[in-house]
Amino acid sequence: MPQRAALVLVALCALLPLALQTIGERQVYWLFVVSEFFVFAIVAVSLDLLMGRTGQISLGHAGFVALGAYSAAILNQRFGLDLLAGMVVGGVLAGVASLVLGFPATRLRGHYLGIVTLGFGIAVDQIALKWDSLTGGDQGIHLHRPMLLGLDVGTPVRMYYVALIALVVTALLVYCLGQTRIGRAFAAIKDSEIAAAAMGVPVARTKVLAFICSAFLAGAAGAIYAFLAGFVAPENFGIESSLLFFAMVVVGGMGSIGGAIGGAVVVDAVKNAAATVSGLSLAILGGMIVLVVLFFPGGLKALLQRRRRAAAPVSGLDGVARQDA
Amino acid sequence: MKTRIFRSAARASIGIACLSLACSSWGQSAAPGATIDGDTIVLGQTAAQSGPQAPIGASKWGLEAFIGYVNAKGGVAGKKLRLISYDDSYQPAQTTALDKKLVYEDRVFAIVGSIGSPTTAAVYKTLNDAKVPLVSMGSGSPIFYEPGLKYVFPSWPIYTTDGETMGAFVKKHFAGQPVAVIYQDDGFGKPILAGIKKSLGKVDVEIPYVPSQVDFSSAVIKLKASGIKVVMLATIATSGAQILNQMASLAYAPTRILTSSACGYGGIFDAIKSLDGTYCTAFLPPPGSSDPKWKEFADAMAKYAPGHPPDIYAAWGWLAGQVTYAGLEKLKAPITRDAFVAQLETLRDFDTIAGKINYSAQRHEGSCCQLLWQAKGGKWDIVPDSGFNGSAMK
Amino acid sequence: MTQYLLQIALAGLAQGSLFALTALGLVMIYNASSVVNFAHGAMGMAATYVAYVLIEEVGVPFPLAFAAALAAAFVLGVVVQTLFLARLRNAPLMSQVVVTLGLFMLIQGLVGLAFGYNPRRMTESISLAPVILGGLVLRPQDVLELALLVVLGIALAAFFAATKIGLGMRAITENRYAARLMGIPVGRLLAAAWGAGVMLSAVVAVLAAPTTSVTPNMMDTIVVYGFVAAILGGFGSMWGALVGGLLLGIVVNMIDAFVAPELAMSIVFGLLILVLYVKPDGLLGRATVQKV
Repeated sequence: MPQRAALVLVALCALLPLALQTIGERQVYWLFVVSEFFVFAIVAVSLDLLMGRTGQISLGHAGFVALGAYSAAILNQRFGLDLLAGMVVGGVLAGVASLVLGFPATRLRGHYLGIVTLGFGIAVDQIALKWDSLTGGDQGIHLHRPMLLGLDVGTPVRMYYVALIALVVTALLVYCLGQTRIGRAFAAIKDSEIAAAAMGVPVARTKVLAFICSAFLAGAAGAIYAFLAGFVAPENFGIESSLLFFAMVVVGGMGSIGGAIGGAVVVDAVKNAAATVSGLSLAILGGMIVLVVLFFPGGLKALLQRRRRAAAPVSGLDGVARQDA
Repeated sequence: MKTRIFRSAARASIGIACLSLACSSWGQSAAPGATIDGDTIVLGQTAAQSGPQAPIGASKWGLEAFIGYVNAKGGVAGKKLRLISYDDSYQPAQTTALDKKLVYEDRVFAIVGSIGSPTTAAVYKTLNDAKVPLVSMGSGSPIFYEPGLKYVFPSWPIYTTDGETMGAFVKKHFAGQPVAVIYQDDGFGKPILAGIKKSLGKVDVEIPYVPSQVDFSSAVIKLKASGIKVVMLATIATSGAQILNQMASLAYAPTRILTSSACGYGGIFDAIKSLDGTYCTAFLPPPGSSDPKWKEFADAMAKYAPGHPPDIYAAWGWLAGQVTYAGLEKLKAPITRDAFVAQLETLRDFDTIAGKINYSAQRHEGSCCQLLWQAKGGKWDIVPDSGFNGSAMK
Repeated sequence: MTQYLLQIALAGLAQGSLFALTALGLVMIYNASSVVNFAHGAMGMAATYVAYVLIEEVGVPFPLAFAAALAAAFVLGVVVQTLFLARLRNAPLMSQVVVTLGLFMLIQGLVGLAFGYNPRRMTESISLAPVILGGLVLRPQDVLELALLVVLGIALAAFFAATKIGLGMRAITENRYAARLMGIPVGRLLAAAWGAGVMLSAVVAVLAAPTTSVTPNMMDTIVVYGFVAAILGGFGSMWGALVGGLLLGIVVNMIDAFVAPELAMSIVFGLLILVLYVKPDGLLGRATVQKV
């Protein structure tokens, strides 16, 4: 995505709270909603790092988000841990947990990995529900007012900026990672593992690394979400959430940071809007996903890249995952 | 190129940091809608209208019916009532966002009849801190009955009372027989189990489950093999139906007792062919009963929420309406949330469709009592002498 | 104790038959079109509602209603394939999978809107009393499920081995491009594969309905176990799906009875990871040869 456009968007987002001042107290709701967009966008970017850049499927990403959210919540409730520490702890815990998946991932391909990650997500959910002495079970955990390095960030405006900065940092990190040798290794693995191995890329280790990075970001996002909502419960991170994150990445277009962010915002916005139309929320969300994918099979990122599309026809070698031949 | 990115990123983050510090005092406002201006009192509700918990979201229609009924009689305290109800699909994350919308965007006066334990658990502390009344939630979870929650007014019997009612009944009529409890492993089922154990003593077999389970064959087989004669079910409607059907298919017919949320929906007699003889705890009159309180509700449903059956779930909404009305009835302008809360706290032995409710400045107790129904010939009869009073404010 | 174990195992075999049939449908669709069908359970569920309406509101006898449900399922599968998946032929595979995810939500949402979420009752396929054999309760429903699995399993095996359509589908699985060159009507066979796969899902849903009650979410758990069964047996292998399903059914019931039903799915996935660590292609799957 063109740099200037990205900067303009970030600037607009930074100025949004100023604009929202004009609607008075209503801003509390809108600031919350947009902050939530940012958090989900971080998760989507983390999932895209895994799916779009190394070609590994995760249908249980909400499990990593849950690990981050719960570790932040538990430590905050018992020891008053602050937001930054919560993000770090949440990210690290999720990253370590991803090793559980990372190693089987090296031996499994495609759908096998997908179902195993699905199971991971379900397992985290079920364990969170069962281990109620630690997690509060279905009653959940309420967090204290969020602090960041001694500063009270409990107001809607401040949490908004925390989420925005976190998203910008995440996007930058992932972008820069893509430019490094590791990033190129990711791309090589996605195109062809065998060719990458032949070129000397340590395939198994790199795949695990991708999992760890992706899980870390998702866990950190979970921690932010916990502070934003002030509450965590197992139902927040069930299989529906995992599948929605998956849909966000595909709807947005894989392999694109802007696409992942766009997909997250679109899916979450539709979900919120549909909730106000009684009874139709599931149908509307499903219908929207179907329509978007039908019209933009490569994802919404096609909208971002339209101007840059070369005249050259799509070659038959493009897209190893294609159906024909 | 990299340095350019870093430079712009640095500039952007410094800019954002400055902005956020500048905005530091903004967004600290108190919850709007604390006083009613205009001639409508707007109430807010979150209830699942989609997803597996959608049936209990029918309480929305009971509440709408009550509001229609009240408005037709001229409203309350000189104002009309209006309801804004959103579908949270029984997801606490949705409830959090939707309640913020109700409070800040729609500026409702109070959150009424919010359905579900985990969903309401997500928001009750925030609402109480923001001094927004949370009235008559669709849950008997003990967390809402804790002292110190000035703005939270539960109206159901606390879940432990549900269990105690079952336990006391079993102790009286089936003493000495081996008993088992199948319970949902969360804040709904566990307090009920605790209540059962409190009044009954010991339970021979305890089987936890989660709502995503569909096959209870092994549980039923286990109970049958253990010779259990009485089975109490702290389950939701779908699981209760599944378990009872499984029992019938395995030719196992113990005494069965369900909890209120698993009975009382229209179509239960079709869904469970073996229902006859089953008991059910309840704090409302059975559907179709000749109790005048129920008839008033059923008539209003027919008039103001046509097409929606007057079942238990709708009755929950009606109850929420009744409690809210009681808090508003005697108020004079300006109508404020604090006045509403103060008025609610004067209610003693206040009669509702769910029996008598007591609130005081120290305790917000909810309905005291439950009793049992029994399925007979396609409808529910009230079992005589099965009442239980779990009130601490007797 | 042995009687108790046997009863659990029997129930496990019956449940396993449902998992196996679900897995068979998933594998059939996957083999033909390389798409994992997330809407599999929802489509079978929708067909079951067709049967429900016919039985309860029109008074149609059960066998006829069942046949109608199967026909509806076939049509649904064909429609989904031709209207949605065929259009995405050249799209990334993930997009096709996400479309099935969207369809899952859409179908479930629409059915919920039309019928509500209250549990409805479906008459049993066989209304015979259970047979008590030496203390063991043999439910006719269980026997029917097992029998259907065997019958359908053999029928499918014969179908793929001997009939022209079956061979055609296998050719498509091997190499779609070459199949097209051989004159095989790929588009039509893809649609047929989807239709047949969804039909299998409808069979499962109608069989499961007396237990789960007819609700829009009735197939949610079964479909997850169906996926696990397919993976366990080796995704792509029909025999694997069958064996995997039966095995899974017994394992799940054992966990329910002796360990902790609330953690059943987690334990199952833990076991799955162990199995896949030893056999990355599943129990009966062939090691996939990757073309460079």
